[in-house]
Amino acid sequence: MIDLILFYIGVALVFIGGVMDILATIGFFKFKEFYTRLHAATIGSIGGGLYPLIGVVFIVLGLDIDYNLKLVFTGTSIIAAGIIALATPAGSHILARGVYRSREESPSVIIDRLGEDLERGEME
Amino acid sequence: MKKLEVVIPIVIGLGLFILLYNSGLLSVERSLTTLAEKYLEYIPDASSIYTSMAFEVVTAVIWDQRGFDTYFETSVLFFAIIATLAIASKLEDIIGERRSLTIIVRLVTRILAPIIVVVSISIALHGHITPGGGFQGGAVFVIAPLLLMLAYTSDWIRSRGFTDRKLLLLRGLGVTLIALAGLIPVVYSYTTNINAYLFQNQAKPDSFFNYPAYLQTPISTILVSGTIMLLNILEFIAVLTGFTLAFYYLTREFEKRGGGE
Repeated sequence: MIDLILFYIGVALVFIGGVMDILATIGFFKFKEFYTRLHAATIGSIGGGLYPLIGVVFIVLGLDIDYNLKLVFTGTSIIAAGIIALATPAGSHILARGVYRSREESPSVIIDRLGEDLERGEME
Repeated sequence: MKKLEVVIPIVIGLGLFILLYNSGLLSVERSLTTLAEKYLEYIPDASSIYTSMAFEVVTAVIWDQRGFDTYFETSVLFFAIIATLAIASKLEDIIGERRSLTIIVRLVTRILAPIIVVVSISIALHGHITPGGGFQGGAVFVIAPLLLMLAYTSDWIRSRGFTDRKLLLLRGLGVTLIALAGLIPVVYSYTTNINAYLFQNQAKPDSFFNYPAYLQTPISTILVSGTIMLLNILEFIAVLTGFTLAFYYLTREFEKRGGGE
């Protein structure tokens, strides 16, 4: 019983990942601006990369296979998911920061507090 | 002019198709060539006379069957690094302010860099058992110093004691030791009057010289496949130092142009 529940949770996560990947692709082509496009790309890598890996962990735990094989699959999946979870926010952060500071493109927002601070010289 | 632009690709494509079709490369039921079959059969088989005592056939072919060729490939990379040095080695101090990146990037880099290093070492040391090898491991390793140099400015690598001269020394040492490992059979052959070949690994039908295939340690027996593991490690060192050096100079050039922030 618990195996079946784990298996269905995993399949659901993989399915959510696929849907997120499609949404990210559509968003990437539909959005007009750099920052919103970056948001769509990050959906693709967290939603489409992290969730399916966690889903694989649940699926493998629910399967009736050798114990060592289970360890190998869950271990690699969790490590890969951790690396994605660490690297994606840092990568998108530094991309957005680089583009903002180099004034390649200014975000289309009503109030830009960071820009005000930078002008006053309060932020480096 | 327009007609020619259409005719030339069509003629080239048609010629290529006829060539591939006649040589049988397009056939679906194409079997392995005789040479490939022999390699796949003999290299992992310990009882065969042409064995390399390695399960990874590609690495065995690269380091055993055509080790001499691979040595020159490594040397070409070595000379490419020397050429980079000649162009970009003017290490005057960079004027102007350089700051390391934000705390977010620095922290994530600190966590990820050791993982990358461990993966690269595993790829290099398992080169004779699983797909991989020295070059592949070295190429993976380089991402770690590159990330650290981008996050902490290029001075990071020098402040840790890895100056460009030391890296070049390691690089030269790696290439030299590869050549030495290949030359040992020849020296042995001249001193004892027993047949042995350049870059020989295991015994061949007319030559009984062989490197040990297994290494006895107090804990367990390790399969080293003669020279293959040794050459993988040396190639790993040579490639990682060479690429790190190249990226070091590139990062410095990038910082000189007012990058860095």
